[in-house]
Amino acid sequence: MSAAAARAAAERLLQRLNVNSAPVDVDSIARALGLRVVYEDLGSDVSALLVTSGPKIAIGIHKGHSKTRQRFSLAHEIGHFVLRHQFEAGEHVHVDSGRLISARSASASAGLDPKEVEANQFAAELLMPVKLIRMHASRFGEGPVLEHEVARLAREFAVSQQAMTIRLSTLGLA
Amino acid sequence: MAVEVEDFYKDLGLKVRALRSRQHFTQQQLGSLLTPQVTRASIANIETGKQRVLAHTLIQLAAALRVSVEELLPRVRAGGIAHIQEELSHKLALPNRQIDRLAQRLAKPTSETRSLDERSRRTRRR
Repeated sequence: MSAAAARAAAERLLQRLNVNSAPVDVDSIARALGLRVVYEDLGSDVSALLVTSGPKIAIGIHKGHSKTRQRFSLAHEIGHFVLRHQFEAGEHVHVDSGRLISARSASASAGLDPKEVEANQFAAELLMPVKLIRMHASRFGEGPVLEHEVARLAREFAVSQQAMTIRLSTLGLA
Repeated sequence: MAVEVEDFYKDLGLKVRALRSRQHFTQQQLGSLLTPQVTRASIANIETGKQRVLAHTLIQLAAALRVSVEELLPRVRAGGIAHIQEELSHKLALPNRQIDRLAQRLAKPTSETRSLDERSRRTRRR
């Protein structure tokens, strides 16, 4: 499993669920996959968690975080589930404290678990599908996307400006 | 984990006691049926969960009580939330009350499992 395969898995999922407009309804996607999503206070340093045992696979999202961060966290956990990530034996709860890190930046490749990188790639593709990004960005004409346009795209896709900036640079659009 | 393990041996003890009464054995009598024999006090401790039963003792107890080993064992609460609660309390910096609530919400069984996927498939068929 590579980052590219993780992105492809997200693309297939969007296709299967007929998602073709922004913002992507990530809660509906979780429900479609039979996942329970619970918004609760998860304490400091935790953004989301995935419960892999019990009657139903469940995702916990920190309700105190911003909407855009919650969406990314949820997409990230869906990634762990869809990509069938195996966590430590005997572990029933996988906890993510992660902040969004660019997969291309040095800090991401150094010391970050490949599963986390994959889940981030999956999440980026799920929330900011390449096709939709190109479609939306094409309105701005040729050349790199400008800062105020990044902000607009971020609003349209309901992601943080940081996430959108990383996504656009990954796609060579900024 | 500690609580779960204690509960397990308490449950096991209760089963031993119930089956022993059914067979009309005293604790002393049951102890004498094991090889090597164990004291009345030892059976009493097993029945209250204070003594953890060794594997070979378990087999002998089952035979003496005329049940299979499996029948003697307490049901392990599969899919229970105790282990989830336990893990959450280690991994999250939250007070117990919140951990309990979170575990309940994450692990409660529901009937709502039909997927959007199935729904869209059905719509298409129409």
